[in-house]
Amino acid sequence: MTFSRQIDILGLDGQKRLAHSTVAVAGVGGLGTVVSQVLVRAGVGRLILIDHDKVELSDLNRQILYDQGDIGKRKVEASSRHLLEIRQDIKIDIFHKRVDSTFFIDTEVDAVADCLDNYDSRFFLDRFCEERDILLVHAGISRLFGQVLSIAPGSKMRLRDVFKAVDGKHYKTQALCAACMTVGAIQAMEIINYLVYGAKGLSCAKSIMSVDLSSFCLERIPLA
Amino acid sequence: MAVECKIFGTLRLASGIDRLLLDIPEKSVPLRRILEELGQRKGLDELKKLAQNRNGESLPFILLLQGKNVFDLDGLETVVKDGQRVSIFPPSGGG
Repeated sequence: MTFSRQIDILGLDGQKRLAHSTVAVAGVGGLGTVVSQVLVRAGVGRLILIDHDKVELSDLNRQILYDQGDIGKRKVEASSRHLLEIRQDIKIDIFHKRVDSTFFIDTEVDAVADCLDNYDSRFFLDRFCEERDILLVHAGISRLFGQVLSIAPGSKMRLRDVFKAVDGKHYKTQALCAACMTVGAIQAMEIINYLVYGAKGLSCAKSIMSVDLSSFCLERIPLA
Repeated sequence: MAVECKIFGTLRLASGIDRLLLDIPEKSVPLRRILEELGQRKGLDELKKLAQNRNGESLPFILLLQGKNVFDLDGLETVVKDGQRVSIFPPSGGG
């Protein structure tokens, strides 16, 4: 059985909740490839993958779903194919598009993972989640560092408030695979805990979880 | 007055400082002054440049006073008082 080695952890009800859940992963790069893989292996029923990019050689150091044969292919198509090789029963919808002011998906979604690479797009995603009253779990990565922050449904504190005045432009950051996997795994686990236990399962909702792989330090930065 | 300053990410790596208790003679000062003080330290010179930033410009750091983004307050002119905590966090933008 696919989930026989985790059913004691999540419980039968928890596993069923995951199976009936839909998660949107915005950005299928260093973080999104980790998050989507963890969610598929955990048993989430449906994934929505959103990305406008194609796989490049320089992605292979950290974007764990891709291999040499994917270079030049759309990330949403390549990642969908690899995820279906892990679990054939998962439903995957793909959107080859940017997250901008026109962003909209007409699907019931339980949680959204922000795995994007610029704050302008992240803030559009934040507005989308606010309007639809959906959990947003944000993460960012740079070099050996990263952060995770959850914006619960109905929260008055939004991502754009916490990161106000930060430069919103895209830039190509340096990042190691280990950092993407660590931060992505925390981001995915936060979503799993929410899907299984509800808002009380969230650990990163009132503080930024700062991840520092230069010293193996996980630290909360409290928010007011 | 004493102000607790918490430093994260690349700033921590460059300076070797994670937490600093800043002792300042005045009873309260604008945040800009805190950044100037911190900017004297090795590895934190970026904060000295940041102190010259005009409000409204994009920043490479999130500045939190008591857990609140200072740009929801008075930006770099936000008054910092005894016993308060300033967190300086370079947000990771990559995905």
